[in-house]
Amino acid sequence: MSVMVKVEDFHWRYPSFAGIEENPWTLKGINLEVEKGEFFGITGPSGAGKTTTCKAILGIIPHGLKIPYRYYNHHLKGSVWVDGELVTGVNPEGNVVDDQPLGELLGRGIIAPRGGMVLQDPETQFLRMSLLHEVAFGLQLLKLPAEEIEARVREALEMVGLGFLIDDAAYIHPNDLSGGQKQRVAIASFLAMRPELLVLDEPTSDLDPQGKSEVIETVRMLHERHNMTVVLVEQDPEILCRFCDRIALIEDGQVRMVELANRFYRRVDILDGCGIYKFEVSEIAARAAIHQGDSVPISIEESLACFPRDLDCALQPADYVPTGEVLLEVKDLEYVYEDGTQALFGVNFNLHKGEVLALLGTNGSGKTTVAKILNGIYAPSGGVVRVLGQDISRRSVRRQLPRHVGYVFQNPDHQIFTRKVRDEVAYGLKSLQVPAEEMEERIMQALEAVGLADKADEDPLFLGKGQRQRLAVASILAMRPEIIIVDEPTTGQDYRMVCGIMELLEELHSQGNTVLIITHDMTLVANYCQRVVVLLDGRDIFTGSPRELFGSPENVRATRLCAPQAISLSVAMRERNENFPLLLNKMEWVQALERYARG
Amino acid sequence: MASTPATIQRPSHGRAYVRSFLFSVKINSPLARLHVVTKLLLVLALSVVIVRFINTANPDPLGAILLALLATLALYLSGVMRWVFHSYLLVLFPALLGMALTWVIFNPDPGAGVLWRIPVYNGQITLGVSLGLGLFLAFLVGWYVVRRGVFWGLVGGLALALVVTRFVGNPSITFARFEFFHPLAIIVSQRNLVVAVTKALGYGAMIFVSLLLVMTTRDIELTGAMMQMRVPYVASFFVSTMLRSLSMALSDYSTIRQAQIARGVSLRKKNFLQIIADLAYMAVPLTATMLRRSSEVGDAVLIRGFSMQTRKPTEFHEVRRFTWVDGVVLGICALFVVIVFVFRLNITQLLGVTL
Repeated sequence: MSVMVKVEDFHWRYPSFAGIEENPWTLKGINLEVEKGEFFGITGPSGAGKTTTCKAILGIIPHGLKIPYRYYNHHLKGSVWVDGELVTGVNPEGNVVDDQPLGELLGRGIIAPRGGMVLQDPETQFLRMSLLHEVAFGLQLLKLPAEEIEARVREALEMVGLGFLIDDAAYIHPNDLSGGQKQRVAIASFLAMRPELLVLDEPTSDLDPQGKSEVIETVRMLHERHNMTVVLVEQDPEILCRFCDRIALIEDGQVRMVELANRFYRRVDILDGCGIYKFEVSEIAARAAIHQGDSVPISIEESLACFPRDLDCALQPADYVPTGEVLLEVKDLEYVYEDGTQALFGVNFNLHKGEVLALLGTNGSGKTTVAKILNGIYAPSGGVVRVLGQDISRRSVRRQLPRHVGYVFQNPDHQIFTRKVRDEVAYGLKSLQVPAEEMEERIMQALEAVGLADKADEDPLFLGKGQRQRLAVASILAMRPEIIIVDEPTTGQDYRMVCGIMELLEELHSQGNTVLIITHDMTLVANYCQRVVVLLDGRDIFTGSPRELFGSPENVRATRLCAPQAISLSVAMRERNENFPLLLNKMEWVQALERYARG
Repeated sequence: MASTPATIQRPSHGRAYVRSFLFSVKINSPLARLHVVTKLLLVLALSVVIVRFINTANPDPLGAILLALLATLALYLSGVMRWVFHSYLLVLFPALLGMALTWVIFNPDPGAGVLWRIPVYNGQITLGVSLGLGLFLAFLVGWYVVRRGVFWGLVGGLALALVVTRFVGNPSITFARFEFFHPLAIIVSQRNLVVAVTKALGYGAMIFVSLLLVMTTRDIELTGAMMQMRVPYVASFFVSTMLRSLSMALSDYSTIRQAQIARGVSLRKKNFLQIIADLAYMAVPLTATMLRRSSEVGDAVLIRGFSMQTRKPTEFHEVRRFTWVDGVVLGICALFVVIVFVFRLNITQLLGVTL
């Protein structure tokens, strides 16, 4: 097989436009080879340089950026080759100014249309206002005849499973499609250009588990049919192992490891402590010193062969039974948007004091709409919602809801209003008219709870995404609402950040706070939530414990969700031994195995 | 030019609206069917005519009303009235009312007959104290001490001073008095009322007419028209991308406003200045979001193969031919402009209405 992408000792430093201080090197000598026709995975913690590497492969870095004074030696070293052609290189002796070589930029530059890149957020990469023209845009730039453009648009939409939209394609705005459909449109716009290389940068982080699989499955089908080389940046080990031939771990601007997909996640010695997701069964096995051959198992099949099968059902922890006071009562809730779209058709659930409830469902099932109603942003169109016993159909009650129900939005950038961390937390408190002396105390308490007390005087816009998310939680926390709603707190974040946020929510829960989490992360649900409500097409279709949901393949199928690996292993074990305990998560497995080992 | 297949000409049954630069437009409405150049010239022609109608020397209130009604009718037929009412009308009405009042106050034109005259300044500055002033200041300071507010202190103090001095007079002690400027009075005359109403209606019509353009136009129409006019593609793509970002900014605005509500901004009633301050706070997230978005859009553009050297991409269902309807509309516009400017049409005078 010949090499499609070759990155040799590539260093990159982003130009600094915000001050006199230089940025540190983002990439510190990346070495990577991707073979033609390979499905290559890249994973690593946030800020490791994954996206920058992808942009360097396509030539956007450095050719799409302005380098101050063309001082290339200061920003760039090494080279990038695609299909034998130099995309980026630098001659360090070139471009001499005042006897000092600044470096000469070499290479063909951005490799479009031979290479394409699907970004994490498809909405930001849409450039036209109709589906038809969005997919056709690259082809128009290639100056293909109109008849061929039309044929290719049709073909690309059919390839990604959106052929049924072709009749209305000229009238559909790509932003109006569902999350999964948007990503497919983004993929179709490159497929139509028939690229030899397709880079996907965490393309499914906003999608529900089923949508995620569907999108990557589409890419794999195209990869197999057209022998296209695919580079997939992803956090989910299941997706990476299922679809990729090889996987690279990028950490701190360097490639730490490149391994075959079925061996990558067995290298626990390297993966431990680098802040990425691992297979739950591998982690359980590592903790319980269970081996499959000379390494840890990574799949359920492998685990079945090496995990003890005779665990007693007495090892199954009892499920939580809600006993606390009902803080929130939702009965036959309906909601119709201004444009006439009905989002909710009758949702029912209760939230009890002190519990952590997960609101789950596929993209577009109505989860965020419910949250916005509970926070008083939307008025219910039908049904009854009582918060702390008060009916929120009255406007006067809805106006006061932010006092009692705190809502942390999905994107922290939408909820940072000031230029100082301290002021940001104070923002909501001023609305509550908290006295000045109490305000300072609340601010520091909230910042300490989220670990940002030392950043109180910094500008929130310069914090990392995880820290901004924590600040958003602190801003709500300081308002001391009885209920905290957190919408997709872990989207696009690495394992370390997710753990940080979840530990924070667990801490809040242990302090007696009532939390409602909206998420697509089923492992998070199994690890931290006591009860689950699942919505589908605007209706609640399941209410119960995570164990009841994930422990029943019928429930998982009906709700269109995916069970986490830990409980899936329990279910598989039970098929062989009906007395096997239904262990929900990593913690329960480890405790059960420890007790089992002690006899 | 690409032949337009039936599927692209006609949307499927049930699809009535399509997104425009601002909100959405009815697919088959009259304005959505016009060529964008026709719409642009229509807007320019009507604006020029409105400028003539609101001329201070020879105002044409009936003409301004007619154009405001025409613009409203066009918005209604385009199916965008709901969004206009939702987003603009509540702001537009007080703004136009304010404009009319400002005109009346600062243009003391007595015309043929004065309806109401309120002297506000007698041409002299007097330094001294009076009962009214004392009451006003005492109320204001007291209000601030008790309620920590200024606005209602000003209103209450003024009301108290007016009421008390009306019944008990306004005894005063004068320290000094000197001439400054000339006497001023608010004069409400038939003439300045007519001019004020005409101007408010005219500007209202102008805003409606401008909204017509962005609310009924899509990016493909604009790039197509620019292709026809041989405008460099880089420029036309830049303009259409900029206008396209209007709808994205609106969507960001809506989410950010909701995040603000979640932080309790609506918990208590606020005065006008506090509401403005709340809106100002939105600048931080809005700017941060737009900056991040613009950087990502830049990458997306480059990946598709767009560059500053891009020339004449293939036309693909973007160029719309001028039809006879465009010709008729432009003809009527030209005729209207000629009649108004060459023949000095004044509909109010033509109909014999005397104001």
